[in-house]
Amino acid sequence: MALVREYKFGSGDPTFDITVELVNPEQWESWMHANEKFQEYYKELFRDCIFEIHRYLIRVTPVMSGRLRAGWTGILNKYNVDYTRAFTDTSLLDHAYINWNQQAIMEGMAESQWMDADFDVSIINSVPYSEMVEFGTSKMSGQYFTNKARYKGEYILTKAIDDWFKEITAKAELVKAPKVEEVAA
Amino acid sequence: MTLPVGFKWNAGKSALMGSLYAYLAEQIPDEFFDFDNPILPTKLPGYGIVEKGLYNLGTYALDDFLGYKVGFSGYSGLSGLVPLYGRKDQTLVEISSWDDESIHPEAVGKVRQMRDKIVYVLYNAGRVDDSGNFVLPPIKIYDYFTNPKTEIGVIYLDPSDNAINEKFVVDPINQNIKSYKLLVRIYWYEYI
Repeated sequence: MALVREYKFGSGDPTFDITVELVNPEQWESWMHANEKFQEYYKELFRDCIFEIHRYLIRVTPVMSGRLRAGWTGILNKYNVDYTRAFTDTSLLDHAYINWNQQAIMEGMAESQWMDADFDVSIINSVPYSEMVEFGTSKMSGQYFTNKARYKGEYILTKAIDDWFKEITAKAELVKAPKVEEVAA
Repeated sequence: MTLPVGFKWNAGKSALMGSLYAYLAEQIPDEFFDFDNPILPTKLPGYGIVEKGLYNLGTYALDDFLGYKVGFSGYSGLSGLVPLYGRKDQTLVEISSWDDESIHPEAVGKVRQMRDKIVYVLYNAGRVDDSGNFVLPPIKIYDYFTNPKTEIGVIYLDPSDNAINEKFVVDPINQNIKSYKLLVRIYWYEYI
């Protein structure tokens, strides 16, 4: 693209015009809409990250009947996000005494709440004993699963944005963010 | 190839947690500590401390570059370049202050004061005042397998604003028991 400036001075007229000639209007158009596109891509990336963090949160949530884990699933069900592997995974837990109970899982799903905005997603687990599992009692160790997921979330989001900016720099144009994959660490 | 009999890793978690516990007990000599205990301590008022763990941060190229040292590679003695030292690592530690209101009427105030002590110690460890003196000494990691103990690293509190998460909890089983729970993110470097 080249900008050609043309100055016109009228006789005795103190004003002047500038004419801008667009050699490559497509690129100009893409620049004009760069911010909109950036917002759109970023929104997609943010949502991807949220779901990835959410799956990690499910993985670090202690499980027995499945009710507590089901308490996280409302928003994932709404957006048809697959969480089956995370739901049954116990590899990140110290102990797991599994005794799946379909009724308990349904109760947990009913106790799952969320608030959903573009860049502000809140997920609330209303299973009554969730706080006891999180912070522990005088006879039971606290699990701090939300904190573990938050720290991991920082990492996932930072890495995802970092990868995206690297991609933009490498290709020298605004591209879609790479798909957020599970970070093995 | 197997580990040598009686192998001890002088820069592992054992040294890390031992050093942290020793530092806290040294800085707060007037309180009781029940180490590696996530539930009610054996004596009240008292602290219960336990490590919760956190994902590995991985390494950056510069960390590896700085940290590569000739060390025990595991294959042929002191010949390998070991990318261990200089690597930043992290973990989460739960530090809970506990007291029983049926024994000590001012249990709530007591656990808050105990919480304040821990937060003050962790924030000020290794921090210097205007005249260049340490407010509190830094938390060093020591290898306790040697005699005398050898300094091998340093622990510091995550400097970001959410490094300490705290919650006051009334025990749901026995409501007389009050606790203040801190979940602390610490970083450490090993620099043999």
